[in-house]
Amino acid sequence: MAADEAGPETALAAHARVDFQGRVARGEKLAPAALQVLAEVVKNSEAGTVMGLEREVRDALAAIRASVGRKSISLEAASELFFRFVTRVALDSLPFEVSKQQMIVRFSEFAQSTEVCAERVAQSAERFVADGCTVLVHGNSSLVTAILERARSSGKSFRVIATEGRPFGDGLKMVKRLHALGIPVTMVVDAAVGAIMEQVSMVLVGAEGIVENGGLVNRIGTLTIALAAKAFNRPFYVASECFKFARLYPLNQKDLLRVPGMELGPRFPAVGTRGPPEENASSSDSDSFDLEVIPSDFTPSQYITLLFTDEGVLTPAAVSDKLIATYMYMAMEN
Amino acid sequence: MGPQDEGRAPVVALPSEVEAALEILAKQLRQEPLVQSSLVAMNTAKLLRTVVSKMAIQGMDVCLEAIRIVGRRLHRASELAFVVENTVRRVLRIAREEFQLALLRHQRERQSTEGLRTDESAVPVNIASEFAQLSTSDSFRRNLADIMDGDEMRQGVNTISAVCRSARKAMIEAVLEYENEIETTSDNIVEQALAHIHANEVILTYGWSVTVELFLLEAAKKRHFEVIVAEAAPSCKGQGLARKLASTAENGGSLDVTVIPDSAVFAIMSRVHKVVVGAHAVMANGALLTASGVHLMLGAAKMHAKPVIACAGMYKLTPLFPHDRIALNDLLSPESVASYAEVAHLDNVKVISPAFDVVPPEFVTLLITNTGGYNPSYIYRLLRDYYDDIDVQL
Repeated sequence: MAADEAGPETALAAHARVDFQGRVARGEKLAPAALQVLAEVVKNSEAGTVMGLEREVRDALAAIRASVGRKSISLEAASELFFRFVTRVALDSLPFEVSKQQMIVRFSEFAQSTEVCAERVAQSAERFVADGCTVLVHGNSSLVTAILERARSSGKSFRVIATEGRPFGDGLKMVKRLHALGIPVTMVVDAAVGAIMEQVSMVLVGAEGIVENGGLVNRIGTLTIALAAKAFNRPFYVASECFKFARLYPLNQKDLLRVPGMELGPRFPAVGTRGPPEENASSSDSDSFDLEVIPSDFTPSQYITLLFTDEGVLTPAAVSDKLIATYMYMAMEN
Repeated sequence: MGPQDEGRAPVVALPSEVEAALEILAKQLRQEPLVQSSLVAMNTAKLLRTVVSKMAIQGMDVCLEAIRIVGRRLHRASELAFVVENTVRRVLRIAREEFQLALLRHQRERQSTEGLRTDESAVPVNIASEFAQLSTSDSFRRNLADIMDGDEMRQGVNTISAVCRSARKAMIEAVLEYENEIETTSDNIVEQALAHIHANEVILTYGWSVTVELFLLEAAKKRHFEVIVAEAAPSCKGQGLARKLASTAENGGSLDVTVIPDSAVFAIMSRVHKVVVGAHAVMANGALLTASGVHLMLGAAKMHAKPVIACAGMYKLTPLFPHDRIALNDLLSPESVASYAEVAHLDNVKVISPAFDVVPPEFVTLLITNTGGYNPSYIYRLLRDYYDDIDVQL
């Protein structure tokens, strides 16, 4: 990816950034919001050549990425896809207007709205939540909530165990959402997953990104849960949209930390007792120690049973095929 | 994803001959749900060929909806006869492909007769795969709109029926080819026997799978080996297979046959070289839906690291995942487990006799189908080549 161009933000880029931030504030996910915004940029562009259009899009994308605090894998994946397509179109000798139209159509088809994705995932995944089962969840995924909501409203009774998700507080957010849906939910500390795994029927998590070999990048703690699930022979399910499929191939955790934006988080003081870090932080204590915060981990595909996506249920082996199909579809001639 | 993704489904009335044939097949399924799969698949394919030949003229939407209606009615008759739905999905895929190919052929003809330069690079080498992406009727209508010019409306109508006729002919041929494939499935599987069964090996199998029986007999023509058959209580069909294999062996084959009770599979496993089983269906993640008891045997095989070969025709390949073991199972009459007289007076005793087992894909080493041998993790590719995603839910 070329370095961000230096210089002041153009009007078009500023408008794109504002549009993007508005969409995210309204609850859209990063990648589909970015693609919708870029599709708008293309539609409203007054550039007469593909090179001019490319430059405008690049500026807009730089502005969007600058506005996001921590880069997300899905945003990186979506923008790489976008640039692949634009470059490929530039190599064709089709008239500019035709290329432009193709781009607009492709991108609005690719980045289905968040609601449509959630609906599709919930529809195919709901049947895996059996009546009377116990589901272990980790993180605060909207897709997981959608699946459990769908299972609940289809009349099944089940209970959920959620991990605390320290120090990010995901667990509490998830518990509040599930409680509002009337689903019985218990929260446990992250360290307890091994101990409670025997009570659990299945594990269900969301994803920050899905990598080429079908592996999962998700909130820290996911790998531990996957290992425990494998040891106890419990199915480990991942719910993810297709735009999260990234052209990454991490072989170990260190490879993941090398991905831009995935570096270690800010350190903050460790907690000795119960209670949130803020209460216990005391700068006068000469014996305070810092916590090294790894934000995400990589779960290899052999620990994953199935992936629930908006394009259907997939085995991890099928992910790379789906990735290739997506990239080829985007680049395919009409 | 269901047919609603293909635009509003048209209301379709099936012609009376089709209705009659459908009723007969549905009745057969209701009465004898677990009869030999290849017969069921053949009959379903024949019925769908009739549907296609009568409904294709009315256009792609109508034709596909008619096929789906037949599929849904048959599914209601027997929910666990997966081959019925698989055949329906296969024919839906064939129908969609043929309509699009017919349209493409017509467009190319029109272009060349109108003297337009046909750009060689735009003519795809493999038409079917290029258009595999455009499997929605929306695109068909769009393309159709392209070839219907304003002042050629009349030609438009004739064009549609010409395309439909051409598609109909191709579809009937393709479905016939599929019927032929089903018929020769067993032969094609059995051909591969010699590659997997070697002299002086000990092969373990379970119950009586006709495919496995033919597989072993084919190998016995040229090799001498031993077969151990687990009897598969409570039906004890394994004893029937043993008798069949032994009697054929006496007539010039070279097989030694032993019957063991199901409880002995673990004990015998260390002396076995390979395990060969049949399957009622193959699920989308490579899991097998087999006779009840096979899971235990294959678990023992896994523990002893013995290779497991599953023989199943491609028409048994199902795009569904085993989400729920209970929903995918059927309870047979428990009479053969414990007779009514024995347990009727015991209030606290429940006797059940499940029909099927779901075997996880990790327990299977090789899946032998009529098109070759595959690793269970490869199933998703086979499914993609055979069915369309949109047809998973009929």
